[in-house]
Amino acid sequence: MSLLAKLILTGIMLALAPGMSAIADETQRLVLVADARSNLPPLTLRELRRAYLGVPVLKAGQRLQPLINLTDERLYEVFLQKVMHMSSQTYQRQLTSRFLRAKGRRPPIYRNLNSLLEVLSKEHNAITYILWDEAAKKDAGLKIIAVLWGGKS
Amino acid sequence: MTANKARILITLGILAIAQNTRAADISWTGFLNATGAVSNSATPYLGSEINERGNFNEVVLGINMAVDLGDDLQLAAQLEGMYGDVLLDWAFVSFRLNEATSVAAGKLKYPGNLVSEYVDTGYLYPWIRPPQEIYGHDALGGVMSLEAFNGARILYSGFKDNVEYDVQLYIGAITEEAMSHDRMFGLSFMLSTAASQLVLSFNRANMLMTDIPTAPMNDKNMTILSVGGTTEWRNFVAYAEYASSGTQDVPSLDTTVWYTTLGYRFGKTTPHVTYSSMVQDTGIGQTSWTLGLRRELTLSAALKLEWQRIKPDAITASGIAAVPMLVGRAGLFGSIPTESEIDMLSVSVNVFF
Repeated sequence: MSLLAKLILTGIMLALAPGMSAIADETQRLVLVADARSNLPPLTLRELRRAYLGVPVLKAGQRLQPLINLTDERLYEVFLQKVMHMSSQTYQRQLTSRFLRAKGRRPPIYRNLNSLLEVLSKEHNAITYILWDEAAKKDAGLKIIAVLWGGKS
Repeated sequence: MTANKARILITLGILAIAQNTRAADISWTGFLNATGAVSNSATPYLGSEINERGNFNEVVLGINMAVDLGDDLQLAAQLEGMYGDVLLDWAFVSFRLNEATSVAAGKLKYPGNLVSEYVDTGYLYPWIRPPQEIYGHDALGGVMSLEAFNGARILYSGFKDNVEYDVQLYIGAITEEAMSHDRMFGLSFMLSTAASQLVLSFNRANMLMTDIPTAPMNDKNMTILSVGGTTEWRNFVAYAEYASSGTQDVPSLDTTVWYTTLGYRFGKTTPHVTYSSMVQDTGIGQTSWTLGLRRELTLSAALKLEWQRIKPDAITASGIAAVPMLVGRAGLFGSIPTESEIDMLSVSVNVFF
């Protein structure tokens, strides 16, 4: 019982901890990118949401390959809130439900930026989201498919 | 074949597929629940022996994989480790007939309730355990939800604007410890949007109790009807579900259950409250209040705390006369507790990967 009491106390302390810090400053934009050599046409938000729910989406004769960018958890959280309009829990629940009904596969998750960029450079139907800032502009290997969020919360 | 040999063969089969397929073609995911619970009663609750001694027995690890075997053919399976055993939770092969229709065969998750398809994956819902009045069917004669069945299904799905719909027709059978659900068939209908989901379902099966052939429900048809919905609006989270089951020629086993949950997200913390009710015509029933707190540790892990007050009702004399095998039962307890109300505390860490 004393161990349980400690665990409960720890849980309450965690629950009272400060909330999430600011997620992005105003100079950054959340954008959807593909390899610069990709011939993917612009996507609608609806097509993008479906692709990230595992629904097969064809563009320019190719099936979109959405990649989850988890190199920064805050970026992933912004993507879910501003684009998918759902929490991580709800997103995973919807993916799981679709997976169990064989209606689509989970988009692969990348926690390493180099691995993510490598896949983008090899698979020209692959897309992902990044924060487009001064640093990202220097990377000529990517092109913007759509601007997803302007950086103001 | 012994159960252990079967498990080893399943594991080797999955590993063999993994070995012969490019790593990029296989999708792996999984989850872990580590749960401890203690109550103020000596009478064990649920099947996991939760009582005044407390325990951390509810540790569940699930690993699942999916592999494309062609453009329209997919194989998927999940192994679960719990209580020291490894079980094949589900495994199926699915074939897409066209853009809207697919068929699947194997061991399939029961689609009849809101969270029945991922009932063991704690990270995906707010509670530590989904309301046991519906999902804890093992402890009661009235069955309100099921785990997985061996059989086949046909699924038709589509989008209309931002609403996705599924219609699923299935047939199969389930063998459980206490009874088998034979010649089972059912229909489920699901509507979902980004924030909401509605599930309606019908299920009928013939119950077989080969160990107790004189049981009144042996070789009788049982029908389950259920409806459930969940939604998120601003920071509010709500769940509600209702189910009823009826057994042919045994009206005493008619059971009605429902619950409603309301929560509010304060950043990474979601306090929630649930009221649940279960009433069976044998007199067995219970009501419970659950106050819970879910705290997101990361984007794929959550810490949960729950306090639950349970008020069980014991089987009546007429209930015993109708279904003698349920003598000594009260609510979802293993026997009739001496306390009229039981408090339970649970703590859990849920990880999804």
